[in-house]
Amino acid sequence: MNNKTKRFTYLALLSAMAITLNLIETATIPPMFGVFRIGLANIIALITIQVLGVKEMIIVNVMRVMIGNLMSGRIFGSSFWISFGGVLLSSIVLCIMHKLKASLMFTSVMSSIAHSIGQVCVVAFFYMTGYIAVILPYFLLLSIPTGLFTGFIAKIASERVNPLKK
Amino acid sequence: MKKKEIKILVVIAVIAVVGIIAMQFFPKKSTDPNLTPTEKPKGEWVAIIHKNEVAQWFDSGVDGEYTVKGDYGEMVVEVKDGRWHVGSVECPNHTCEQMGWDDGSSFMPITCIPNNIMIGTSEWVENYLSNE
Repeated sequence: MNNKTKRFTYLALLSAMAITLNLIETATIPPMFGVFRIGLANIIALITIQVLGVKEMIIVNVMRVMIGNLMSGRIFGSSFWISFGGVLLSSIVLCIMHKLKASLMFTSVMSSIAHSIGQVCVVAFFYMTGYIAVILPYFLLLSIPTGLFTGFIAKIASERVNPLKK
Repeated sequence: MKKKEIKILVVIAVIAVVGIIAMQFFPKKSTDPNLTPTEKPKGEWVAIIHKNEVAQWFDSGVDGEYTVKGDYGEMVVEVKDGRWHVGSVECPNHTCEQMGWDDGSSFMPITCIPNNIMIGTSEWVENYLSNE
């Protein structure tokens, strides 16, 4: 298999995994305090940036939001834009952290925080109220353990995925 | 994880905790005038409704006078000893003045049809506005 085909196959597999994880989490794990999710699909974004790079991570994240929402019948609805806002900001932070060569665990926590902030910004824009920001301290606090958890899983998985690249 | 990264995470956690604690000391004030005020009243919260919107909230445990503008003219509501009544009103029939004092136990709230004004307790107001 040439290198381009291999990368494309990896990209397709990782996108499928991200979408599946996203759908499984939505269907099986109830959100904490009614609004906060662990963000299992972030594990795949972290693996992608490690294994393939920034451009591919953005593709996986966009595919995850687009196809995930399409499959759950919420495409271009309010929940789509809320997830899109979260993914957009978390992708930007992932790129910055990758450039700064931060550790995977730290990158994961920062991306989790950025995801929450992105979602809160979209909700504030939709409802034209800044009062939603009161939820941010709770999100910040919850993002740390969930980010560490997804970062830990991504670290273990990356160690197993990297040898397959060769 | 590097030491510097751990420090940043600790700072973020501290900021979050401080934010949560600060919010307990500064409870959010209601911005919707139709919602019952969050402060604890001495008596009970009573609202003067004009055109299905709360024009004035008052605490029945605090004596006072409140003037509101209706469709026809002004209405003055007097509050004394946990009760309230219409002291004076600019309207043709003055029925609301004759309804006398209310303490929330009366069958229907004080109503002035020409001015499109009603005076009721918070419980009644919430029921009334949610059905409108």
